[in-house]
Amino acid sequence: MNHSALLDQISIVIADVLDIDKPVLGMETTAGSFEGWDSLAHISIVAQIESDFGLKFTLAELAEFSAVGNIVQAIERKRNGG
Amino acid sequence: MSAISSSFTIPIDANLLLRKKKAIRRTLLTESGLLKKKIAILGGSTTAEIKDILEIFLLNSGIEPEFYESDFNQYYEEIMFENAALKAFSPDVVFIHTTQVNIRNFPSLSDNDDSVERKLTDEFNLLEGMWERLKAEYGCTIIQNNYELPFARPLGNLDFSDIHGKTHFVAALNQKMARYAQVNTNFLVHDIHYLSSWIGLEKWHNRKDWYSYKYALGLDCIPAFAQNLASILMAVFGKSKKALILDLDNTLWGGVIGDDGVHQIKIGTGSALAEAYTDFQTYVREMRDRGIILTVASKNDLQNAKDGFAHPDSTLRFDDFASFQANWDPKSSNIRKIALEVNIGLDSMVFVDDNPAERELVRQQVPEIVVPEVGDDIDKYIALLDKSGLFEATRISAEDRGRHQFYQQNVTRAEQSLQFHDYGEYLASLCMSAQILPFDTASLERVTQLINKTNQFNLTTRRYTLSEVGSVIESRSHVALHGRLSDKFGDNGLITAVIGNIVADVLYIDLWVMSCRVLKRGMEFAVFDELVRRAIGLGVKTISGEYLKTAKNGMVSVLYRDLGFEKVSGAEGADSRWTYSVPSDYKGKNSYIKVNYES
Repeated sequence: MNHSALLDQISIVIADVLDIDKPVLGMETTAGSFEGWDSLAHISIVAQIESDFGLKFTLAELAEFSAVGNIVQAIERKRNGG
Repeated sequence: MSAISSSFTIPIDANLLLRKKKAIRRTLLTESGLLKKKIAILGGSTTAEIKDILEIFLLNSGIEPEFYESDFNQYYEEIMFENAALKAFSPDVVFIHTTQVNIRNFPSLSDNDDSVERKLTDEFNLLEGMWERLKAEYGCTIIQNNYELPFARPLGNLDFSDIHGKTHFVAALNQKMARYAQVNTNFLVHDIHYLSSWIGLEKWHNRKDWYSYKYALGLDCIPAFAQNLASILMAVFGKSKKALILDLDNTLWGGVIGDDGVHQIKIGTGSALAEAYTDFQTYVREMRDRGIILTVASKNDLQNAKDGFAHPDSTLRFDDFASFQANWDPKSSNIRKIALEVNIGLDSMVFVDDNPAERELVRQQVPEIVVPEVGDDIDKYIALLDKSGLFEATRISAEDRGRHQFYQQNVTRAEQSLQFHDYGEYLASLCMSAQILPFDTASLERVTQLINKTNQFNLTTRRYTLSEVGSVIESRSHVALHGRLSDKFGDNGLITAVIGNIVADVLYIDLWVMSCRVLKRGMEFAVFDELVRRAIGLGVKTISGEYLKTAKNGMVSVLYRDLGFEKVSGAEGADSRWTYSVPSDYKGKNSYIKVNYES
């Protein structure tokens, strides 16, 4: 499946929260890949993704978000009603 | 800059602040003239996001905070035990971020009346112990959250009335905090009990943010929390707003008085709209009663505008306003006229107008002023101003409660001054009398308020906390005087303070402030006479004064020259130091004020 549209939306969030130019993301990009992406910024990034995509992650999902791919998959699952 | 300042609309855009905080912070830090303050945040749960958002609120209001953060949930230990790091940090303010997750002694169902009471006392003693220790050890201002309502009520509705209920316990504990705050002026309550209810407990008690990150409130509540907390800090640092500038048509009443006539405007109880405008007028009047200066800037014929307040159902009256500009000039020029008339800075004023074009024009032409985005729906106005925190105070003093009278008297004075050709004749006609006395504990609060709120007649803009002013009273090497002024129109209250520090035979004036209410009345000469009289008594040969320039205190840049000082360094109109050799046969400079030196 092509994730580029989702990755692009997520990269806008990351750019805003970290105050950096829009980064290039892959499914394997891990939290902490860019300067300033610490545990605090991670919380903000996840919260902003929830607000942009109009969804709420579960407690279990939040614990799994070590790579961007996990986030993308969680969004897709929710969109497919999973 | 405009993109960033528009991040701070009132009401706030919580999500924008959370999302762009780094960019906003970066931009705000480029502003010059920021006031540096040290704030220690001692948390009973995670505080990182609170600190970040609080910082941008403070920066936006001209304060550059330096923070100290306690280790996670170590607020109690860091306060109660030896803490070299906090001591070295030397905070201006300590903020204790506790919530009901930090309550250690909630009752259990096996408790009886006595044991519940004991638990309440134990819990409160823990709090009081911290406050007393902070006062003794750090002498700083203390702010602490009260307690919000609990997340769950195992007892259901009984939780409120049963002695075992958490809701019941929280209410009792909050009441004890309120009583402590009433008698301890260095202690201020951050009322999250109200804030969380206003936002909604369901949103506040976000379990995911608690389990995942140990935030005791939902992340999306943090901007409102930080705004509310920042407003207390603004009050502590003398940055709260002082005046409201109000439009009339469709702001203080419904309809256009010039077109509709006074009997057709919507005010009173005749319709839903009329009731909403009456409620807004009532709220504005309550602001007046607590010391906020009311003014009008309206595009109207003066007589029509005045007639609106003669309407039998109008809560506000024409003489409630300290300045009344009803004409067809641009609002920006009327606003500048108001600032001159009431003698306060443009950045101490808030402009309320239902017309979006006027709001935008004023924002562009008078960038210092705050213009809330009130919209055109009158039923939103009260909540919007009320939650803005713009007018926060640390105390409401007798001076605050009587302020509108001072301004009413000033209008009468101004009318009278027109009858005189000679300003001296006018001053003489006022029959002024003053009391100039050393600081005493009774006036401590008002003196501190004056020191921290005065911006124009302020030679050094040094700020003193209540405890610092208190220690000046005790000191033998200080000469500290305050003055009251009254005249035939009324009492202006305590309006000036000066603090000097004696080293050998030199008196250094550390601070000198005077309220904008009594400028150009010659009171500075009366104060200086008394300062010199006391200085001579203490063997002082020289008085040394300093002028430190700010954006607002230009009016006193040559005060020392006018008092006969010689300039020793710096230039006139810039930071400068001045010296005065006290002549043994000093002749008083005051000629219009009868001074009483006894209390």
